[in-house]
Amino acid sequence: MGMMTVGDMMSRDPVSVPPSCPLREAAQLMRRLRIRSLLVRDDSGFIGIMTGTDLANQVLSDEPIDGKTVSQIMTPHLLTIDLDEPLRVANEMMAAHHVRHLVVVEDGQPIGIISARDLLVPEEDVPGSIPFWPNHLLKEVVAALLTIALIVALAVLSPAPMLNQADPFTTPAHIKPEWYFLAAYQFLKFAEVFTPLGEWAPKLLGVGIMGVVVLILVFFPFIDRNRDRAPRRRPFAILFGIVCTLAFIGFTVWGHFS
Amino acid sequence: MAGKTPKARRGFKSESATSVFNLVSLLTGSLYGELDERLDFRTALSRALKKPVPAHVNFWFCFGGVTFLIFLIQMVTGVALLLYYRPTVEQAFASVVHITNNVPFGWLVRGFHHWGANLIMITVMLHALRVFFHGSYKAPRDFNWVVGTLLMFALLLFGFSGYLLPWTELSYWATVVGAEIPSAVPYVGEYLTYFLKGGDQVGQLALTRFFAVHVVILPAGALVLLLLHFLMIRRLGISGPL
Repeated sequence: MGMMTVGDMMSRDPVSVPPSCPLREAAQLMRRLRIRSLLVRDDSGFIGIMTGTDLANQVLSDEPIDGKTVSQIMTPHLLTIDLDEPLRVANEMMAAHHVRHLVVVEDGQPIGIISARDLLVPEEDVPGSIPFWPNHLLKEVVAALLTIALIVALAVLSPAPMLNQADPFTTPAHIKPEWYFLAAYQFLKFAEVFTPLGEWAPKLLGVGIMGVVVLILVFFPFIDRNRDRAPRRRPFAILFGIVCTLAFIGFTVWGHFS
Repeated sequence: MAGKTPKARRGFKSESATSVFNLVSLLTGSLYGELDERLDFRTALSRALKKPVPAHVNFWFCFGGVTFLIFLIQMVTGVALLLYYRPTVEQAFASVVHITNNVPFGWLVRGFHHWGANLIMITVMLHALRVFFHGSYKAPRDFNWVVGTLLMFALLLFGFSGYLLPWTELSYWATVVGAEIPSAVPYVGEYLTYFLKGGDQVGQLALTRFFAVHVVILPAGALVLLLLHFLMIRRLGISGPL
């Protein structure tokens, strides 16, 4: 997880108070909940933020705290940052605006607060992660040993075949490529169906269609602009993937038996 | 070793600053000694080991690493085969027979290379399928997908070019058929096929070219792409849970 986002480190469910909330009450709320900022919300929505720094400045101003409300000392605008932004951006925004709290928004709605302190959490303590060593590496090592065992077993039990030497003057009866080229091979044979279009058609269309499929595959992220990753919310891409996979398997099997 | 700090090392060194010690610490130094003092490998190593991995990562996520492992096996066994293989029309087949029958463990090394070539195609496809259905190819990892697909086609070209090298009946004729495929490209197709074969026939020049492609051009290109692939995934991290 090289690029951690604001959403990974923020505090969820920001606490909000009305602008008329007395300062003493707000300070007690912050201490009880162990938070360092409160969002201020009236009927029109979120209108500001009050932080521990605002409270400290109020105390230092020597004015009586009683009778004062949150609206009198709050910062009357919100600096917001999107859930998906990397932590680096949060850091830069805080430095640029000389603040220590940003409101995290998703689709324009405040869903959390990220503070300067949240940026200090060591990378390896990210919630929902396991350390590379030894937890993840163990899986990789098991997979590597299984792979090596498989290759050794195959190489010993089924040695690489030694066929006859090439003879350019004798064409063997059945030439088929390696299995991973069978799908392409069979598709080119299948392209004979384009023969009614003209002598040129089977070869050009066969190779052309494969070329287009390859280009779509290579540049797929730039064709599929849907940002959602959950399979249910990208039915078209999933369907496309299943069709391509089945077509590859189908042409491979067909090529094998043809 | 692990308990010794660089500070303790320095103390030890000032007592007996021998050239032998400097030589030994050059060997062990990449982790704890002289080199570490200058380059701080220890911090780099500890950061690499502590690097967090999302907890949802399961065995499906190992196919990329397994593909790279087989790639390394192919490099090592490939270099071993290179020590005995002779890339000429007259001698290629005989040298492969020699490797298989006479060279100590030659049959085993060739077996590894043969089966590695087949398995790497399976693992790279499973890796691509995992990335596709997991939606991991989406931005910000979109450029890494492009590099990955190029690597997959590089592997296919490895297979195609390596297939000709033993100069067997099937490899010869599969190449004759396969080399015709580029000729379907409009305008430049015939030239491409001619360039690939080094003439009208699949002969010595075709073997030389396929050999050069298989042992120099593709490995060099694939290593550059692999470096890009790993640097990008290192920077961006494994995609989160669905």
